[in-house]
Amino acid sequence: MRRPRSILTYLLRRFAILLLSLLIAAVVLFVLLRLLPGDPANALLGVGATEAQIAAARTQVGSDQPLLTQFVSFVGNLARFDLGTSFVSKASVLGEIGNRLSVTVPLTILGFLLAIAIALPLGIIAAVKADRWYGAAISIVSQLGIAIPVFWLGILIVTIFAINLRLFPSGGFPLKGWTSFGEAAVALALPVLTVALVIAASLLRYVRSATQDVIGSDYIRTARALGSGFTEALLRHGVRNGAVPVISILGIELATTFLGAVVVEKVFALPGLGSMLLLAIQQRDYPNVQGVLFISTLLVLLIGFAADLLQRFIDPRLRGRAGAP
Amino acid sequence: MRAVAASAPRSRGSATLWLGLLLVGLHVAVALLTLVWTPYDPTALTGGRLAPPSWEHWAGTDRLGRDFFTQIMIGSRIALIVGISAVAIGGLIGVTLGVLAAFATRLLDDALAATLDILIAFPTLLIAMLVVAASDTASLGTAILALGIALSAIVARLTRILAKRVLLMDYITAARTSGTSRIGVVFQHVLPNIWPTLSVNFALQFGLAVIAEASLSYLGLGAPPPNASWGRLLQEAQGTVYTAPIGAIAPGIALVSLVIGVNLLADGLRDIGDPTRRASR
Amino acid sequence: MNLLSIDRLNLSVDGKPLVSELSFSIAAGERLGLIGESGSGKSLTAMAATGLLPRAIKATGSVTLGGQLVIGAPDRMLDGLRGTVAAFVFQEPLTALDPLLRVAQQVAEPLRRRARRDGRDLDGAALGREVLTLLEQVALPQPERIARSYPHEISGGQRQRVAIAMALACRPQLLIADEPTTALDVTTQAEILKLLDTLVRERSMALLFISHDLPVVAEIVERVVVMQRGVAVEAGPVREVFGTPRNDYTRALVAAAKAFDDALEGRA
Repeated sequence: MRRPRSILTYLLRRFAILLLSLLIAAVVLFVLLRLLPGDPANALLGVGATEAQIAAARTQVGSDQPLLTQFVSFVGNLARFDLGTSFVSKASVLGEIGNRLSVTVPLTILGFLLAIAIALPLGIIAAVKADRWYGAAISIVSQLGIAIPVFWLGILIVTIFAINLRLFPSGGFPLKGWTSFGEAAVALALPVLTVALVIAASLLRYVRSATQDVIGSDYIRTARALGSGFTEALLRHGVRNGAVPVISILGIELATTFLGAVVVEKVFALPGLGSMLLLAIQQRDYPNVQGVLFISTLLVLLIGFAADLLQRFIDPRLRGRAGAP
Repeated sequence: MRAVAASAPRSRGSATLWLGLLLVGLHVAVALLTLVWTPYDPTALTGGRLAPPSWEHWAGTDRLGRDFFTQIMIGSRIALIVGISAVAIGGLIGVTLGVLAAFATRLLDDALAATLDILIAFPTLLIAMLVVAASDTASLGTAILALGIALSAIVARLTRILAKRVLLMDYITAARTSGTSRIGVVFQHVLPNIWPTLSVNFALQFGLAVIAEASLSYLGLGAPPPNASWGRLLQEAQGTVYTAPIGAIAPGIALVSLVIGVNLLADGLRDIGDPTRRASR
Repeated sequence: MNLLSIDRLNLSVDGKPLVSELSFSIAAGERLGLIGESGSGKSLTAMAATGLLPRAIKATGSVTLGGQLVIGAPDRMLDGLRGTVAAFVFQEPLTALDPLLRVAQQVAEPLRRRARRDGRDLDGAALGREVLTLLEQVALPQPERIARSYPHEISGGQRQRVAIAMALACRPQLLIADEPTTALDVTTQAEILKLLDTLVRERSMALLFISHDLPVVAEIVERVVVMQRGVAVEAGPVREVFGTPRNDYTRALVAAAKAFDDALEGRA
């Protein structure tokens, strides 16, 4: 019998792991940025700068300092959320990220919720009715779904809904953002659908296999053997038990969608975090690249934390153990 | 009961394998064919611009008047080259790192595991984007290298877990005490044991690599023209989707058929390697 | 009238026979043992008796439970028979219980259902009291603590007692125990066996006891059916079958059990 630990100990431990993960991420980020070709100073100045200008720029970005000093100030800045200013636009990186998140966050979350609304019932049907034609059809369509690249699905959806049916705009986002709410909502309709279908296809497979496990489980057999109907047993015991593995998949899917938004944003010409990263990479705007990656990592780690906490809430067996990452 | 569950869906398992082999075989055949013959010279302007499909041009022509079907065929070759090379690079780096981690001291292993866990959270495409950004020139080689590096994290994580499981077995301890070196243990015991699982995973990685390469090309970070990557074909066709919708559809079908093919192949292989899984699918 | 009667039952999957031409019956209050090695079809027979067979397994012949035909009957009707006429105790109590629910919630479920079927409402404090009463009846120590526990927090023997309490909550006429002591250590085995024996006698329930373990079966039932590879090779009163076994397989079983007993006594 394991001794259950208090929720406080767990939270402290989990928070420490979070900080440690962030530190590791910072190291990876730091190494990666040093690996980028050339001196950041060159990128700051462009072609045709004099030696003196380059030296001045080096002092400005700090690339003339020893690596350790650079690393310490790098981590220090991250810890204060000081992400610097863009080489290209000279705007605050954090401010720009904030603007971009107002597109990417609604896109990700709405797409994600729609995906759950699609995948949950269909995944359960695919498992429960595996011997019927529609159960098998759902499984085959989802197999197809995971082989379709996001951008092609986006193009197809644009072709159908924007070009043939003329129901929605094919891309773009109002310049005023969410202040022109109706326009912004309409602009997100097709991107949200694209994101949702892509996540739904892979989520469905996990829901189906979790449901299969539940249906074959001994506790469902017990409930049935003591007189419970199939649906009642599935609702009372299946949903909860099936949720445990699905939640960790949900966490990973949410993180992947958030980070993978770059493709959908390109298809629909949306000014989100992904297109900011793509532009920054093309323009070698290192502060922007670094800022986007840091904030993304932070969000990904927080999502993982939340999924972990939720799982622990549902499954008493996890409460005995310390939260591993 | 166990025997019952395993025997029932056997026919479905082999059907999966055959369909996968058929699709992949088709792409391999087309790719080999393009080495000696294509319907047209891929760079020749052979017809009207954005012509619809016809007997002369099965998938129409692109905005410059080049035969689209020829380009899609060459796309098969590029996709296979990218998939195989990226998996080879990713496999080599990943397996090496994974085995090292499995043998490493506790602290080093923990650090590696934590790093891999974070890297895994990032999509293959995003990591590949950053590697491309880190290189000076965009080329097919850069894209392959980037995808290989991106995949290596996934392979390393899997290898580490599999290798650790093998290292716990009694016969390894026996081999070690009887004087077999670490390298000997790796080649005689660890790799042969984890290979069946790894090879199935490599097939799935191949599909991932093909999709990621197409996405890179779509974003403009992949192989530059004249490499007819399906992703670039689709990106170019998106602009002319009003007048020539076939261009935005045909390369996608080619891509999806290859990816489904390798996924089915992986499923089929897994069923052969592990019969108990058949029941659970 | 018989509670359960099985007549020429055949079970097969993909044309491969699993159980052939099996017939036996259990009258009210009667205790029958089904004995045989694993894979002999004993557990499948028990599942077939209540219509819980996996869909891939084909059943022919006739099974009557509580006066109703089971094979081919709609699920809705069978749901009503299960629990009320027959209830189960399974082999592995860890997986048979829902890992995410407290013991009290799991015992309350069949209790509330039985009350509903009898046309009364059972909720709140009354339900809680009945749960505790049941836990006391299966001789669980500190029933309040156990009621609040999750299955992983209690011992294997305690879990099996909870599973028995759940079956008792149904107040069935027939208790089907499928290798209920196999997953437990020897001391706990004896305790659980004694508990089952007492409960079945007190409530004059019928019992279908399934086991591969001859001495265990002999202790608790009146009649046995010996199964080998899906076929009943011998049947009759315990004393007769085990005293003068006529079938080779039964003889082998008896000899093995005797050798084991002798070895135990020799050491003691």
